[in-house]
Amino acid sequence: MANNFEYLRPTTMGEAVDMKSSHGARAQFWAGGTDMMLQWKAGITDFDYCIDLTYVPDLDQIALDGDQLRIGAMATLDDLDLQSGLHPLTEALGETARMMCTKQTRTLATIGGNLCNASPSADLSPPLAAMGAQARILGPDGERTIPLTEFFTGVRKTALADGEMLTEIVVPDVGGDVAASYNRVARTVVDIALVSSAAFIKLDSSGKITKAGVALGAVAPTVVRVNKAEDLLIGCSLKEAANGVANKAGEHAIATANAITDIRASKEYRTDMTSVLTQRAIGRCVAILEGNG
Amino acid sequence: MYKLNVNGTSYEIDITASESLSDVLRDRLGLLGVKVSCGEGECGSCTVLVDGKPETSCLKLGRQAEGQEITTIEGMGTYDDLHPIQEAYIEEQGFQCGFCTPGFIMATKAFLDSNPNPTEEEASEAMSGNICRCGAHPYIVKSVLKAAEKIRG
Repeated sequence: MANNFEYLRPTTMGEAVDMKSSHGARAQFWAGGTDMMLQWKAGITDFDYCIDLTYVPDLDQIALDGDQLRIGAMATLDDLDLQSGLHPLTEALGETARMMCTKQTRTLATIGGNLCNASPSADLSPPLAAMGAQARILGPDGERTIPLTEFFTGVRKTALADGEMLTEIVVPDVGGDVAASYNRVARTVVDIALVSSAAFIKLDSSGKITKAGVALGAVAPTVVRVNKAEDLLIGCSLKEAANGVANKAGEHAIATANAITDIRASKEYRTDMTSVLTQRAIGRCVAILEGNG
Repeated sequence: MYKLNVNGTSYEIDITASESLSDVLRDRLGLLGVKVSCGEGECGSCTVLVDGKPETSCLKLGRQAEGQEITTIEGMGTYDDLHPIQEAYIEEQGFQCGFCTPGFIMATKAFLDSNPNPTEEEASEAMSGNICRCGAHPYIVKSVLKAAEKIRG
């Protein structure tokens, strides 16, 4: 491991991408640094150039833009908490943020950093994946947008190509009656999730579910969506969703999960919790949309 | 040379690229009130205020803080003129060995700036990012509430 690196401070997104392109694999983007500092100290990651994104403007905005919710990659977990009141979906994301680390680390840790670290148990991945979020990526050849589920390609692996950076998370179609909820089990507040599940529901004007998302964390190398549970929810009334359908959705979640036994939990426990947490997430969405959230 | 604003004073110092803010504050500026315990952002001992927000200074690069306004425990009060939060911690015995206390006091400052009249539950939750191994937590929550009272006047 090198015992030092060179510090670079770009002031525009273009400059950041140019720096990354010219130094290639020897350069590392540095967002909040809360994961990066520990990985660098432990020798898990090694680089010669640190490209600090702290001073690139306009990367930290959280805003509604028409029917899109736009979250800048450099917005912090604390920003997400403070923007809870903006929209029903930021309410759910703010609640998720408050489950993560501590206040004084949330003020540093960024949403983009959390996603680019691509931990299977990352707390923001399931709710964002359930909402159908997209990742906006800027690279030397311009910009592209991909579904967040395709952004993750494995444990600590992302779809970012050489010189590319994640600039923004966009949740499309957030107008109307929507709700989301993220639930997890973890040993303590600052611990990472053993299993997690998120649900997203959108109603049409007649009160039927027109769009649904169910996503699981920490049960596979990447976040996974439970398509069968989603198909089951679509077309249901809230009452149907709460009575019986949530239970079946939980069974589909178990089938999708690829739970394993490790030092932190057994396969059996993870399997049971996958269903329980999925039902809880759907139940919470229903309660929110019924006005009892 | 890098320019750091700490406790209202501007310093021009050399900072190694990989040096954490907590190391810079302790080793380069001698601000030994900044305590480092876990070094992993979990215990809150190294909490300082950066532009008014509480941050774990062990996880931030010193150079990342250039241009930002940093406050450490040394910027809170003096021996002869204690900050009301420091008075409250003394009066309510919100510590035993005192190692974690600077981090708690900085977290308290940030919390009370945003919530001057907290409930006991809110105060308890707000202090959850700091760990006291002596187990003074109940007294710490009392200290936070007392400090809020003092500041409100």
